[in-house]
Amino acid sequence: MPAMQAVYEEFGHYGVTILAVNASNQDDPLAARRFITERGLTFPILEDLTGATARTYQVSALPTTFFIDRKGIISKVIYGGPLAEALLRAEITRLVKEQP
Amino acid sequence: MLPILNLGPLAIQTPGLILLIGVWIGLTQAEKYARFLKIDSDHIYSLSLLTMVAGIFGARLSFAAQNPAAFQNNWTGLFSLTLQMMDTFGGGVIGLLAAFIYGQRKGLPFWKTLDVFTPGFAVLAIAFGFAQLSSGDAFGAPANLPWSIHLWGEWRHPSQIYFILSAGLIALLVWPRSGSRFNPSGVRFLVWIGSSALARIFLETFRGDSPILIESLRSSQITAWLILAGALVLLNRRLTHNNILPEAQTPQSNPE
Repeated sequence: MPAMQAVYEEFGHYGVTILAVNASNQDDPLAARRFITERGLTFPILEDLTGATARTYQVSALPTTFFIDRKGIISKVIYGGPLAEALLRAEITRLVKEQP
Repeated sequence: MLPILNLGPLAIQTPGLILLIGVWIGLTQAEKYARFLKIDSDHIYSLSLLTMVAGIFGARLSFAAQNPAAFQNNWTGLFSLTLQMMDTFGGGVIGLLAAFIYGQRKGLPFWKTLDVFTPGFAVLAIAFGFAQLSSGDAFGAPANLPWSIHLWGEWRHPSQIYFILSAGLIALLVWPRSGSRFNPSGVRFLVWIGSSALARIFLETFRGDSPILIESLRSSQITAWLILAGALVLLNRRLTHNNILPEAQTPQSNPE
């Protein structure tokens, strides 16, 4: 999460958006909100209350990270964590460099 | 598709696990066949270990060289355990280079050593197919056939299963057993790599993910054609220069 925050601040002006989805159907939403405040996370964090998003994206492990390009196509899926900051930077740099 | 194997609190990456099993079986076969061909199996073990270590470091360094900005604020990322920060091609080149240097220093016979590894390569190819099936990579083109599989929201050619079947048939072809006549040394390896390239050319047509260069011609098909041509040239050279079949090198019994 700190790595995502750093990357969000650095790449935000390129139009990069980070959407975190909390599996609220199997988590405590209050604890999740407390976590967000404590870590000072400013990117949007959504709540998957029914598990519908996890089913749609065929999420079989948490966390799962989807990199989505300008056309809305999933270009890479990474299962498990924690996600290395260098990997996050490398993938986002690659997507930013792609022609619109 | 089973990218993650959840065992209680453990979440195991299935493709990595399958590849590890493939490497283990492959190495066991190589050591066994090395003893049969009277090559020091300790050298084979060291060669394999060195190639893997050099390949892993090479893959990470090659990835870092291609993405320097990703590491400039935090160089410790170079040592991250993430498998995704690997450049397969760079790792392969560096691993093979290390293997070549080691082989030269220890005086290992080049073609015979490649033959020793061929059954292992064949097993690893099958494991690679299963790893792709579990991760959902290398998926097939959309197709409505009785044997289609539902993957990534569509019914598709089971391209990974086609690959596993072809790798299995090729493994049967090159597997050391009594009566299998692959002489002189190097022919077994060249037959394996040539057959694998030929299979790739054919199987790529069923893929739904690989980049298309011109009309229906895919980039990996061009690479496979080049590998096939190289294998045929070397095969011809090995067979004609050695004037075929010194029986002393033919395995007469099953190394099993």
